[in-house]
Amino acid sequence: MPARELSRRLFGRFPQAIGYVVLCLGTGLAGLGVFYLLVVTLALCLVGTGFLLLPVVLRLLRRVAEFHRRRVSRLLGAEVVTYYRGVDAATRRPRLSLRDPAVRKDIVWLLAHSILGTTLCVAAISACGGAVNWLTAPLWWRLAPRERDAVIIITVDSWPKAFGAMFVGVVYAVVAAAIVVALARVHALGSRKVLVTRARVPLEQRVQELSVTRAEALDAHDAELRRIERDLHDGAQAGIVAVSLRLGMIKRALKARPEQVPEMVDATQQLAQQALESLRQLVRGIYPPVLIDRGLIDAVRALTALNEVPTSIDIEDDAAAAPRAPAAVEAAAYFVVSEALTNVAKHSGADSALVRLRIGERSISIHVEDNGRGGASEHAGSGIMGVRRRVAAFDGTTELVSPPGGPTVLRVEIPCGS
Amino acid sequence: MRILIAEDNALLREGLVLLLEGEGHEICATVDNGTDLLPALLEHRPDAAVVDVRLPPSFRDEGLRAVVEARRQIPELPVLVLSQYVERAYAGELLAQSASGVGYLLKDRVGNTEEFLEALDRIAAGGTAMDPEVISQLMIRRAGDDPLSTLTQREREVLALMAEGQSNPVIAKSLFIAESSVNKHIGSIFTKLDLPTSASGHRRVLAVLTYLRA
Repeated sequence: MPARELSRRLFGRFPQAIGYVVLCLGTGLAGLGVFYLLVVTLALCLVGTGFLLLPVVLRLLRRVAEFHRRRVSRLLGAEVVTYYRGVDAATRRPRLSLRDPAVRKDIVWLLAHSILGTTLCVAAISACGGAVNWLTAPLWWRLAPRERDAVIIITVDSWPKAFGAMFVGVVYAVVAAAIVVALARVHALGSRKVLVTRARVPLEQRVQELSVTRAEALDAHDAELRRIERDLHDGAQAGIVAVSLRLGMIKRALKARPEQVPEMVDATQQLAQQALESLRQLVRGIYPPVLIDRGLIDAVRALTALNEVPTSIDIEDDAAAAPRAPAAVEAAAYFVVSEALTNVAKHSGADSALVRLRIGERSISIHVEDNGRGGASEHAGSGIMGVRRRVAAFDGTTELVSPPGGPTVLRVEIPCGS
Repeated sequence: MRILIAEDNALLREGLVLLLEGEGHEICATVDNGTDLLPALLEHRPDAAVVDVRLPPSFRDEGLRAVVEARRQIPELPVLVLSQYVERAYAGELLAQSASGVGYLLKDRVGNTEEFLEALDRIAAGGTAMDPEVISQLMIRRAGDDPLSTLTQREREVLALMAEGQSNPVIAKSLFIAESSVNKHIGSIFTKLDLPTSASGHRRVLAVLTYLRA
């Protein structure tokens, strides 16, 4: 990685990372308090009086966890969500809500975050403090001569030594920044591991989710049909009418100005070709012929080859031997790749991209990565919303990770249903 | 004459411009979306407007709505509406104000340049040009349960052509019969359908369409 790229990544992310670390120190210390409260409450539950306190403490716990989830989402550029069993379970039936895996995970997280997280944050912040100390050595030496031995390891008693210390301080600062960025990321990734629960989603909620995705799939389908109808009428049909119009003009010209006819015939043929071209594009948009004839792998190869941004491709070879997924799944996978590559070319500012495709018996997983500026969002008309809907219709998952400064990674998994 | 064209497909728009300029008309403006259409119609006040029903941005019936509004402000502004498919509601909306200077043709008819140019001339002169497809839809709807069933086959053909806005000589020519027979048929249609006789072409169409829509 070139030095400029390195410094861009390091200092671009440092402010966010230090903010995260400082916040974590705060929530870590507060978390210790909440944890202590929780233990006391649970102990009091043995005598009975704790049940009155439990809802309050659980709500507090959840608030801290939710707050932290938002921080983690922000830092990682990907949504961190969890499913609690019912919103008001904590207030009405605190004992039941203790059985909720999400609540239990929150408790585990709280303990880990308070002890381990706080230690990490203290280490990161003191590293920064050290850097500041070294950097300001000349200041200390001039302003508080008596403290000069205490500030840093070496005794600063001359200008050369003072500036030497400053130089060391610069190196120290770079290392400290790297440590802070790395620690923040490690902390966020660890937190995400604990704070995300997807397993054992209640059936009722699952049904609701499926109804929503089904409705969205139908909407998407409807919009697609309308688009096709419009493209046919306003593109292909109008093109053919234009050809017919020219033929009519030729018929008139045959009588009045026969010398112009050859030229008009040429122009008309061109029009016919344009109309055919628009028809061909339309068909390709409905269901790419290459997908029918050659399968998903070749279709994705064709997509990457056509992309404006140089795109490398990584396809598992023995996937070719696997049976072909249902056509609808293949088509969805194809459009995910197509949409993702369009985004890379249009918005990312990247100069290279990677498509990784894994076709398993149970699912197709797609990974599209670029080295662009990141900060991709679902709401900026980037088509990610469409991808998510399309994938959700197959009960698949979509994950977009795109912190400011990049890289952007889109991961999609679509079950084949086999 | 001065003509305004509203069509979003560039190929077709250019084709129309070429055709009409070749015929010695002046194209005073071309519009490719629904938003600009009404202001353009009001500003240029063309001798005739050729308008696609469906235009951007919403691709519904912008063209038609703009035309209806323009004709409210400039009564009898001659418009020839082109549509990808026949929709009785559209025809009804157009004719609701007045049948003079109105045409409603399937877009495909543009290819038959003679008919298209003739229809354009007719509406510019205050006449009517209804697509045979529209008329046959209207006729089918009414067949079987009303006085239309009392008409002979030949009388139905004459009625359809009348409703399209054709003049008696044209009807005679296209049915290969003498003009006097056309007159005779029309008289008999008016009697059977109990329509008031009138000399003016478009009023005749209006009467026929009003009856067919009833």
